[in-house]
Amino acid sequence: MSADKPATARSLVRKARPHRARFWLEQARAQPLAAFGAFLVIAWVLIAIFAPLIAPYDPIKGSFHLQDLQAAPSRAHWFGTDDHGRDILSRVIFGSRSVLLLAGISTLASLICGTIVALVSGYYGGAVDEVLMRIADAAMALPAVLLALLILAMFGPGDLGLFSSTVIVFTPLVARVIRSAVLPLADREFIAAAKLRGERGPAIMLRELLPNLLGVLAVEGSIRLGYAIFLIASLGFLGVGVQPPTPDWGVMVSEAQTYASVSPWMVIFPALAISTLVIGVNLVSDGVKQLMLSLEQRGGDAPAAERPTPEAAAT
Amino acid sequence: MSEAPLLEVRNLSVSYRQGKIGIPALRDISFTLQAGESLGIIGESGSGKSTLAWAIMRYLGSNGTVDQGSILFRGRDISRASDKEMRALRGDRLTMVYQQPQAALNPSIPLGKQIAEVFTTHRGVGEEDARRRAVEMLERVRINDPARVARLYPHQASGGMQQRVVIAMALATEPDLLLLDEPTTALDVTTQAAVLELLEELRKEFNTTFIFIAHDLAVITRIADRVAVFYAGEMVEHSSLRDLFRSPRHPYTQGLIDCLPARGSGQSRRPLIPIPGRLPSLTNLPPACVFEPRCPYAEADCTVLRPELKEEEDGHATRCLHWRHLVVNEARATFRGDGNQSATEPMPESAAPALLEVHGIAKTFHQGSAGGGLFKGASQHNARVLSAVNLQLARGETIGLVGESGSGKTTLARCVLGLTIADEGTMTFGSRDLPLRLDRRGKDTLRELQMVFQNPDMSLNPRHTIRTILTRPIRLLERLGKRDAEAAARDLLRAVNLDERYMDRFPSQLSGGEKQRVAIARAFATRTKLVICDEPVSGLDVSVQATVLNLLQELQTRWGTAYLFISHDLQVVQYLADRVVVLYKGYIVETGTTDQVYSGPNHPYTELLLSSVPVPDPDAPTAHLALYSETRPEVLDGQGCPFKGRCHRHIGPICDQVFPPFQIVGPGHGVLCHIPIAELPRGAGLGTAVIAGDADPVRL
Repeated sequence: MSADKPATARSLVRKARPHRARFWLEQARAQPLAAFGAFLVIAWVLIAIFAPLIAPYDPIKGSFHLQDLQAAPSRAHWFGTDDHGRDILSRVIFGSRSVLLLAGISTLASLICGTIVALVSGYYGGAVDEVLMRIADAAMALPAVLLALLILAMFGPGDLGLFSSTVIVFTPLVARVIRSAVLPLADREFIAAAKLRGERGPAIMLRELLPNLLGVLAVEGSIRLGYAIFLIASLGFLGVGVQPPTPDWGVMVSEAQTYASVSPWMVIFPALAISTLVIGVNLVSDGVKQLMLSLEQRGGDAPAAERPTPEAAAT
Repeated sequence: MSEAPLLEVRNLSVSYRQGKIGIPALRDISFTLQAGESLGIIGESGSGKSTLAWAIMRYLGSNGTVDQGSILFRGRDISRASDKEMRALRGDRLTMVYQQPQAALNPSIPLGKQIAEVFTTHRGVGEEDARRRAVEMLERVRINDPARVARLYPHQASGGMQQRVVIAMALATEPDLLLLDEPTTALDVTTQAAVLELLEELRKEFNTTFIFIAHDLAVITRIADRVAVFYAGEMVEHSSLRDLFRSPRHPYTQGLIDCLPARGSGQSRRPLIPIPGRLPSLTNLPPACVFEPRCPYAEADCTVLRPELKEEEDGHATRCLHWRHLVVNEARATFRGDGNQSATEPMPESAAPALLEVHGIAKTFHQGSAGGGLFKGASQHNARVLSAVNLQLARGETIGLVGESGSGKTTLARCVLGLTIADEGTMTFGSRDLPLRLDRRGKDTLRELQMVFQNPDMSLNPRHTIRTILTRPIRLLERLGKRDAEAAARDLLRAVNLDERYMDRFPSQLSGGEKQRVAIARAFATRTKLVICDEPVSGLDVSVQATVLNLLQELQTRWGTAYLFISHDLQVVQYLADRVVVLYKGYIVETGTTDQVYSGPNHPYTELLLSSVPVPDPDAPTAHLALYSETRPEVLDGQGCPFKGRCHRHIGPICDQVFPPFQIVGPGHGVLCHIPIAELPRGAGLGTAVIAGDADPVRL
């Protein structure tokens, strides 16, 4: 099964590579907003990776000097300090780590879980589909934050709790969307052809269906990532997410709300961080959707694959 | 002739903008059309024939522009008319009928109201009056009980009825010019024949000028006075219908006629002559003659000198430098004439050991419970698709399975394959039992029983390379190693006349015909004994069809594979099949050798099917059965003969009450009918017009 895979992958790469840079450049020009979103996201990822190098102060150790508590933005503290005398810039920089890591991993996990559910449900159909989808409906009937709170109550606050609640909240949503992409594919005749050569269910799902879902998965993944960042920040704000003193944007906003009128910088900067990242992710996700649509219209698969003549598009 | 022509197109060129490049879709088209005349336009997909229709209607879309030339309608240039002027003309003086009636009708408005709207908008008549006129129009397109049908929504009407309603809308204003863009392509053979008969009659009644666009020459033979052949955006030939069939001058037109399976009794097994190559890309056209790369008669100057569409004294215009020297005409005629050559292969004896035996296969679909899940609806609607079907297929034999859509032919194929599980019945394959369920079948069975599907876009996984598509079944079923499987796949590609370089391509990088050849190669990848072909050529252009049919023929001779060939195209079946099985509503109504079925006597339904095949010969006699049958209501009360409602030879109450016996006509030839065998031939045979001469049978 895996033996002939390298051939496929190799042939894909061989064709795609020389054009890839130019392809993305063209895309960026065609979709400037998405390019801006990508810039925001990439910037935050770089900040998270190099946080220890960039951050001017220790994000956790406070100061006991009175003049350092809730200091307004200055040359020493660009974003000001909080009620513990900690540098807000450094905390915002380090805060990106927990949110990106947690949101990234839990989005990936919910994509995997959701896709498995969707494949099983869409391919087997019938009672299997009915049972899985009713469970999904039940989970989706509850508001996301409420469901997450319930799960956190089981696992207790902390990274594991946040991860599991995000995955449990998002899996049914992902499953629903991916299933609707699986259904028309499952009726295609290449599935019948696979059955006729004796392929088993799992092989059909992984070899025949999954490769055709990559586009939908890319769109869904980028949408979910935005929501995951938001959910994790919300839970942090409610005090059940990332636990202090680990810097977290949601927690920072929540702690600062009492001082919002006296030291607005304590609220503004972490809130700004959340919104730039979420907006960036959403712009990218719109761009991905657009890209998938245009690729589909052109009937192509790999971005730089040699394409048939354009008469079809002309009529 | 003193009057100005109704439509005059002068040097028309149309292009579509795509990004920065312009795609020339039509170049230098000129023709005139007198009032009352009818022009047929023939061309493959991408030839620009629909663009012409849209240009005349001014529906080119935002990226289409008329670069040059003019379209004079009653002496007025409509390519430059104001939008307001066009709105007044469109739907009133100029109307159009499209390929898909479902797309042309609004699904949420009753049919009668949609026609009435034409009267209220274009004639300004009152609601009541419009409704009355709409019912009248429905009657004129031969719809039974028009007052009832007027209240139906589009989804409640059959495809043929929908298309007749669209035609009624188009003719409601008694337009000067009616454009028909492949109006029968999406319909069943019998429905197609009915619509064509109707159009032929309506043309006389309304005295409307027609432009009939089709990809199939045979379709327009009964309707067009003149024919224009389009190729890659140019008009390559233009003449009267008769001249075009008698003496086609352009090599492309000759190719189009030659690649059709010839009509005549018996299997001629003359290999079809496909047109080599494919349509040139419109962005990269040959500099001189556009057909030169595919032309078998091309000479050196064809790549340099651009041929003009030159009209000879006989009114026959050809865009070819050398048409006078193409002496092939006569040779071609004699070659086509020998259709009656005896079959080249000995007919498989019925005594030969059967490869596939099907006994009493029945299938009922339960509708009403979506997905058949946990909560089954109480109100279920059951549709019996197959009723106790028996079938025998010998080794190396080809059985043609024909019938309209809904006759159960695809379900029967899927039951044999195990993709659909039959409710009852047994099957044997080779010497083994063939389990009804696919997952109970062993590797040996899977290996020997394969399928070619109708649409290669659906049957080839777009994310797999041709290499994966071909090697996977070999590795799974033949248990070959990677290297051996790849060698076998390369052999397969060669066997279907594709280059080895295609191994690393994806299906989207292949043309339709090439994709279908890959799909055929996949079906032959294992030591296959029976290949079930479900309309394998119906999605392809005619010139490509011939290549694929020849290939199937070739592979059968080479490997002795048997075919169960499903098709609605009786000419294709006649070309390929040894025996024919006719299905109607899940019953086999006739079986026999191809000769027997095509020469009759036939079951009335087979007779209807045979008379529905459009004949590419303007002088061939026809029996007008289709419109009669189309306008009769189908009676499905589960009693008597399944065909009783639409039958033109209904002999009395026995047909309504008693299930007909399967009568033996000759050795291996049987018919499910009450009519005594001796009386059956009365209406049989293609040449005899049964009721056409009588009083108009449609209004019965």
